[in-house]
Amino acid sequence: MPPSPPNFGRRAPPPPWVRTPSPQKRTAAIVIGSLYLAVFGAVAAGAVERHRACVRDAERDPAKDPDACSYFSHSSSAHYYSGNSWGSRSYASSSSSSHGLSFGGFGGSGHGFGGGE
Amino acid sequence: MRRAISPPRENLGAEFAEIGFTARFEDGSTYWDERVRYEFTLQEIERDLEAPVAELHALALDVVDRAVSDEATLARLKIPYHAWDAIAASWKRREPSLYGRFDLAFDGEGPAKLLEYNGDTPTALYEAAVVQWRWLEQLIANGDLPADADQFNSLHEKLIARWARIGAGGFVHFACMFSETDDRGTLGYIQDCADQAGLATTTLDMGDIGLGPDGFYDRSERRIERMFKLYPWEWMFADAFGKTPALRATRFVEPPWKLIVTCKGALALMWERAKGHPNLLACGFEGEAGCPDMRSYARKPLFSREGADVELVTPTTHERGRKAGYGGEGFVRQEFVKLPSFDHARAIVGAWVVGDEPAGMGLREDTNAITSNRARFVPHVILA
Repeated sequence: MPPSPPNFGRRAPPPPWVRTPSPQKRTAAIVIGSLYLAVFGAVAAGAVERHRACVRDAERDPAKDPDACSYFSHSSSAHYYSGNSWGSRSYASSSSSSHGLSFGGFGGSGHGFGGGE
Repeated sequence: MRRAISPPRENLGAEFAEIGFTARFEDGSTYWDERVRYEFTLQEIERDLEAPVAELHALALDVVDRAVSDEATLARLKIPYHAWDAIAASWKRREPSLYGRFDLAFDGEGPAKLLEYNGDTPTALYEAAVVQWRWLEQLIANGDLPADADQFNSLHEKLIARWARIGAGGFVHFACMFSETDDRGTLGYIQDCADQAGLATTTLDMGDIGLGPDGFYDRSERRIERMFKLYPWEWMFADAFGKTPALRATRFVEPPWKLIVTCKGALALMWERAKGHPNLLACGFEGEAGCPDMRSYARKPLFSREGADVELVTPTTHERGRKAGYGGEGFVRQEFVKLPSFDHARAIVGAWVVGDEPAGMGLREDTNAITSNRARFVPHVILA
């Protein structure tokens, strides 16, 4: 199979049902909305406490990254992940010098299958 | 919902050559089968499939949200300890998902039932998004389908739009096991969507991911900042690089939190959260006191693929999928549901989500009760 199919950007417009929300869709949206209100209201108290302690510790020690206090920490956010993109994060750019890279650390599993299913 | 005889197009070889699609398995047997088609009403699509998928997606995210806050739950899912923080961190950062596929049992009579959620590395995407859409267009043009015939399919548009949103114009590496034809084809299609979204991309084999002192690099020593990987997270965490801090320096699609939903234990968690939900089957962790008592059930390894090592147990029968050595982490037991059988073909609906929206579906048929990687893809149409 060719690794990259040709461009299919010239397809017909989406069918009408994707443009006009049905009553069922609105019902689903209400259900989903209710669900999220419930979700973000509840997190184990001990978990929150652990996270706060971690953040306090990181704030006292400049060598520590508060962002690494990740485990029990999402509770403070009422935001839904999909609002984010990768775009706001910056990374160090790689240099052109050799990094002494090692390879082959991924790809060893499989049980005789590909990775897709 | 009905299965109907459908006229195959002429010059299929040329059509598939043009779009780069392989319609047969490597042994020559049929994969794409357009001698038949599935016909749906718009109500069946909107009410019975699209809306439930939106709800199941929300429920799956609810399960993730709770799991990352609860060590006991992560332990029940048998997710390795060293993965917990990466998973929780990715959820905390709201790292975006591109896509996922809910596999459903649906016969047009009762509610669709969730069999599993392939949220990490689903394939059969290109055929659902493009091949069957062109089939629809060409049958309409030939007069073999009415002009207002439709399809539950906005996959292509949504994939491009999603990449445009989450990619933010950046550079993305695309990785899979190149030795796997199916994976490489799927990867190529998803990469093509990213290209159309304006992203710069390249591909590499999983074995060509290099570990440096501060992150992952490709063979040309370009740092891998963002990567789409068609390689399961349970394998990544089990591989030699699976414990390296570099995992936190790269942004992955799908993100690490998807390991929670792709674990079959998520089916049990969803049932616990929404017991009696019309689109869920009773499910529990085998060996736990709370596991529903069922005479007929599917016994599924917590981590398995392509139906391997799945058992179907009823009072009178016992079927088993291909043995592949899965199951070491444990099993769930899920209420048995019979896949609808049409002319001895067992059909399963693969309903896609792109981002957070239902986006289309593809149907596969298998002669066995356990859908495997030998299932045939059959196109569908909506007839008003």
